[in-house]
Amino acid sequence: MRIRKLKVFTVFFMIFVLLAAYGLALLRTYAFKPPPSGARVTPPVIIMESSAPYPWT
Amino acid sequence: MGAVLAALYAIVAVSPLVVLAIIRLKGDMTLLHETGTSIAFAAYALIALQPVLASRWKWIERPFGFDVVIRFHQYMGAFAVVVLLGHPPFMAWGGAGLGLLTSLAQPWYVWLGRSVLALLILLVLTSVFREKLGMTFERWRWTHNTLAVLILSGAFVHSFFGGYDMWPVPMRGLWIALLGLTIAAYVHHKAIKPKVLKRDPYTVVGVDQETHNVWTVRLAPPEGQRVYDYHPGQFHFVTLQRSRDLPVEEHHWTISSTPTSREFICSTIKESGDYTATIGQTRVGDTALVEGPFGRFCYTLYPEDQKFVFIAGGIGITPFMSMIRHMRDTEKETDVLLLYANRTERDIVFKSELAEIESVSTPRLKVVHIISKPESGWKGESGRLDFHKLVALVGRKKENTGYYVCAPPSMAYSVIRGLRAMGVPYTAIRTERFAL
Repeated sequence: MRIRKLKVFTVFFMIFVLLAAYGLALLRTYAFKPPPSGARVTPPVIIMESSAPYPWT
Repeated sequence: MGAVLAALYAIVAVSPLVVLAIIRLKGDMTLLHETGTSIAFAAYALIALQPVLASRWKWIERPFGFDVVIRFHQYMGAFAVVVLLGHPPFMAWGGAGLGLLTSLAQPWYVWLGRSVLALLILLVLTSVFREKLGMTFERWRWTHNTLAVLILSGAFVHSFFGGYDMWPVPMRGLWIALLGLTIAAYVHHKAIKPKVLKRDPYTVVGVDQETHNVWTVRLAPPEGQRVYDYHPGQFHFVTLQRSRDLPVEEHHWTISSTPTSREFICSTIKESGDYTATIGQTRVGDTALVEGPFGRFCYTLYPEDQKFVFIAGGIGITPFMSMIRHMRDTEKETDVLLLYANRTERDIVFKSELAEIESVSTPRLKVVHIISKPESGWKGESGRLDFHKLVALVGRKKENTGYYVCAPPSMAYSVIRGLRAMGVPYTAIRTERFAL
């Protein structure tokens, strides 16, 4: 019984994680606005080189 | 408590996604690319939680049972690998370019990510196919632990330096917190706990031969201490520290004694491998590190069970012996039917003690021995414990009865299938299945 419960929980949990990941991807692609400064979010190496200011740091 | 822990686990597993949603960090690529990033964050959190699941914390194990926690650890490891396999192609086709998959000229953190993924696949394959690969448990465990450290540190560095999502302070804080959780679990399991156990070793006070290949090792707690509290049917991890060039390995064995005797604790062990073949060479005075108890295969944890059907195969008798002895010592008024299957008559463990308990009134025990390869003169049940025999011996499904099964995997599987076919609900079947 415990193993059966575990299997059911695992399946639901995996679906939950995948949906959460996809949901965040949707939000980040279509819903969230760029930083107020208008700066593009760029890879860290460039960020570090340019020391660009970001509102969340 | 179990629901709280499961919810807590789920929250931690998706915590990177939640933090990214809270800080509203805009992605810079396509939906496919962002999906590739998101699944990798969730997978990292799952990997970071793996040592927590495997660290034998009793407050985690207690509500679920050790076998369930370890099985979940295995499922989550496989799930993380499957999810992470999608990470590079999603990012590549989502805008990063196919070079991410094929090009040798990639930044160091991409190469680190590739290495971590390869090691993760290796870890899962060695875990799934350990026996087919001919790896001993000790060698597998060393490999598993080494790969786990490499994977966790590599994944941390790859994710920390390989993407702009780590730039916000909350994400960096979360990543460091997850790493701290992982390190805490690992250090607790590998350093602190062994040290604590070494401080108070148990002493071997008896080694008794039960059958031609089964031994009972009796352990006494340190002077002035009592045996730890446990339920009948639970198991513990024991590291026998024997001199005489005998191997020192940790093994999990069922406790065959009853918690009603507080002076010593026993495990009854069958010679079934290289290590257990030496169990008869254990001597009085040897010491042992004992970590326990674990498991939920205990009748005392299921108060709804008023009557009992115990089905044991071979050395699977040990948890039942602990429970039956406990019922005898506490004078439990109950009916117990024990079906005990063995290959030959000489393989029957505790035969005389079971007969003695059968003759007393509490519990009302009935033992049925089933011998698969009987010698001439055997008058009891013979053959395999198949469905027809199960129906003939157990009879119709009974209310308020717990059906407990402890046997080699193939027998346990067929017995459980038989019980289900008899109409016994899953909720009334108790079993414990795990292989470390």
